Amino acid sequence: MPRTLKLSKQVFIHGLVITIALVAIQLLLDVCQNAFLLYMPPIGFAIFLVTMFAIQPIILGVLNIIVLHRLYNCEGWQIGFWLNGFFLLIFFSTINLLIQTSAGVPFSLGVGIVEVFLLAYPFGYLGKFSNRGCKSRNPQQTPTT
Amino acid sequence: MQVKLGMSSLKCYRFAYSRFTRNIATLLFIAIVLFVFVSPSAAAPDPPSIEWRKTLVGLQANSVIQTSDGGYAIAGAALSSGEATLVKTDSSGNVQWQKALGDAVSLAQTSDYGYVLFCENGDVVKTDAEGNVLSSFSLGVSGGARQGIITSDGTYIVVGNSIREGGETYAWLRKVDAQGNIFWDMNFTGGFRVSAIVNTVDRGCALAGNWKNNFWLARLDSNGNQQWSQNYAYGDPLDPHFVYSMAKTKDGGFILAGTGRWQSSNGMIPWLIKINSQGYEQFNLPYGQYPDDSFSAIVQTADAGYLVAKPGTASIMRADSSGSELWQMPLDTSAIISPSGYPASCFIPTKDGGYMIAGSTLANAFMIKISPEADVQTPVVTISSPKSKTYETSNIPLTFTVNGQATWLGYTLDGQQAGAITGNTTLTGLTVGAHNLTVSARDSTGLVGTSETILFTVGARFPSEIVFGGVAIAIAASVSFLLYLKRRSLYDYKNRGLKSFMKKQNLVEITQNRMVWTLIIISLCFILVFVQFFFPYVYYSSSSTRSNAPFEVGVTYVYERDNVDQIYNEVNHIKDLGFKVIRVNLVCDSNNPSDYLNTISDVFFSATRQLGMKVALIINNHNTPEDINYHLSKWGKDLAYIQILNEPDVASSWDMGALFTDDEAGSKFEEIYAIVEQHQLSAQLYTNFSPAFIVRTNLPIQFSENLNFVGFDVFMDSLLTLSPNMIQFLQKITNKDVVIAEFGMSTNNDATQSDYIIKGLNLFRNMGLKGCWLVYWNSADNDYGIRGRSTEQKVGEWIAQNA
Repeated sequence: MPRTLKLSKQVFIHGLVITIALVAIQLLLDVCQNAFLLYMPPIGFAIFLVTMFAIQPIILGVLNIIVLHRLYNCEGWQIGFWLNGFFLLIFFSTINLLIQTSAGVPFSLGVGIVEVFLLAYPFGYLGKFSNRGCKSRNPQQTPTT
Repeated sequence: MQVKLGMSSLKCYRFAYSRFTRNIATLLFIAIVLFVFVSPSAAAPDPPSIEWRKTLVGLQANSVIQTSDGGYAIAGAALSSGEATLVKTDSSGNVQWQKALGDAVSLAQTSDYGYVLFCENGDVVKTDAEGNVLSSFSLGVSGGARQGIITSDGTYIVVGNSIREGGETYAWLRKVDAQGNIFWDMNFTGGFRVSAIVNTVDRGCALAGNWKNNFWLARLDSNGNQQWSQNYAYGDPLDPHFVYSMAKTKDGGFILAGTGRWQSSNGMIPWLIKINSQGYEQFNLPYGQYPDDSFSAIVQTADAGYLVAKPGTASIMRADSSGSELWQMPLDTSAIISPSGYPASCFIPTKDGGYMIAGSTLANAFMIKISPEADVQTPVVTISSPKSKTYETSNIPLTFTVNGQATWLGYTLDGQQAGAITGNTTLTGLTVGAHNLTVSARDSTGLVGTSETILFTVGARFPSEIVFGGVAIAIAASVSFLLYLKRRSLYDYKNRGLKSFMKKQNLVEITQNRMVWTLIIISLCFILVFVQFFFPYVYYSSSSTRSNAPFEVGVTYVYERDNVDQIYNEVNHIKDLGFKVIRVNLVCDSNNPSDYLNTISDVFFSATRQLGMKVALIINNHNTPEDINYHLSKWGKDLAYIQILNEPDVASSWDMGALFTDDEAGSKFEEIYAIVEQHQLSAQLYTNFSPAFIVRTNLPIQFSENLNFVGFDVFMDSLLTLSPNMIQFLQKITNKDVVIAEFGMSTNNDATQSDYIIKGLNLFRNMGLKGCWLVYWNSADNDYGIRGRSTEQKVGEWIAQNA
């Protein structure tokens, strides 16, 4: 039985989990990107795309739904794993692109760490919003301390 | 009393009325007399005067040009052997030098201030600025050349007539470069005769002459494709008609001058035909009042009227823009520009607004300088919109100013007269493609002023209304469908009313539906993907995001296509425009040090050394190690950048050096890199990649380890839009700076090319790239070149303001 937390804490923890996952996967992919690209081109590039836009979203989507279930005592899900993860990924990569374009700062470990804290709340809400409507096991329950 | 007073008043009134009436009648009479007898002569411009005349002994003048120094050059045939056929005079007609070259029918001045003589026998002779022969070649025709011109890309087009076996006359046309290599040639068989040729604004040309007994005009594009060909028949089919001369008109059309037989005339009479840019006749005027005469040469005047040479009376005649005669001026000479010679280029406007006529008598040639028309003050029309660029709308405001009171305004769009307008208006329903526009204004004296021709393009616009409208309809339909499925619950809302339905909690309840929410998230994903695709381009294109990093604009110059004497001037011109880098091919012959290729490379590098220009050398995939070694030994120290291989990611064809596999590309790169390294040069190394690197990403990753920066080629509008994403990706995988090594678009539309290049320069500068090099300065076999086109000047202006 999950502990009931304040909504703000629930959102922050939710966001933290999602952003850490996003940053970690992004850093991992950046590190091994050229290894992918050098492998039997363009097969390596195709595998990289599959990893980036198929596998990664599924991981994120599953993670988001698990967190929703654990934190908010939900059951089921409103949209599929992949779409949920893809939405979170595309939102995150769009933010990185905006930062890189307008501030000239490409994604890196430092940027990722800052993003984990800055984007925790927004991504907490986003994670909740993106799969809204997952049914609570006990609709009467309200978050308390 | 009242009556008396009334009568008295009436008499006074009668008296006053009769005097008043007489005065008014007198004034009216004077006004009418003035209007009838004075007004026309005031409206018509006065004839100009002859400023000077000169005689050139022993020459039959066939062509005259005003030279870059304001003087004149006359070319023609020697009336006796050994006489000069090319004469250069100063601006007052004093002979500066003369040369006995071949009998020329036409003459032109080249960009290096030399001259090109087009000879009757098909020879083309190139001289320097002093008339010394530099080179000559034959067109391989059996004589009959009529006229030659130089196009804006520096090539020559020569036209003439020959006779086939069987006696049939045909017209021919050859486009050649300065070395005589033929780009394309055409024959017009079946009774065509060509008399004159002019350049057109799209780098094509127009030919005028005759088809059988009819006038004939044809329009060709820069590749020799016939755009249209029209013949103009008048009167009886057996009545002959001949074109002697042609001029381009300010509205983009053509005016033909010649002669023809008219049923009511006793013999040949002069004839004018005005043709629009699409080949449709606007008017034709037989001048039956001048029997046994012709119009042998024609120029258009500043007010869109015409000046024609009338050899029968040795005079010139002035006509307004509709062909109505205004005045005639005798030239007091025994003959003038005989139609039996080569009259097409014997009558030219001069830089001071006057005119120059060159003609011949039996024993010598003469030059007559005619002053500008003093009374002609044509309205000056300036168009401020549209500009020479690409628009993404089919409705463009037409905004212009006229320096004075205009009694009539009109415009011509794509050669079609669009009728009268009252002022600024909007051009609506413009089709996608290139358009040309002129605006004309007529003042109260009947003089017509015409604006410069504006070339603009309407580009295909992204159908955002359809896309967004379609998405909105799809969402509305989906939601309606879902609501229909939930009609039972809706029934409750219906009972409770629409206001209740629109409440937040009820709307939230609808979004609990799994399909509705999926639709919302998919829509958001689409929006974010669009942002990722287009935000970088939109952001960097904005002038407010300007980077202050140094930005080098360069250009690729194929100097091996130019003559030795052209190269220095071209390099100097490139420098004057503000380019910092010249990118060139590796051109040399290691087996023969005295080979011409080595000579021109020497000339080129000497010029860049003197003028302080940076050089980027392209080592192409097919260059041999011997040539690379020879070139780097000889000119390596003059290089700022060396490009190893050209687009290895797409070089999978034999003509591009055939790097089919990654192993081939890699080993070729290693081989060239090793040769370059041996020379220990200070030049920075780079390789340029096309957008196809996306599927061969291993090449930039592997090569960049040995490179100082990587190049990227952009040659399409869609690629320009996506280029920020691609450049960022290339930077990411290579960890190197990116320079745009080839940037340009293959188009013969100057406005589109200029627009594209300026957009790209702004984008790449704002991205903080180190440079952008354009392709090509000169390109004779495709439409990438910018030399001699308006793009050249626009890029120069951009560099002056931005780089």
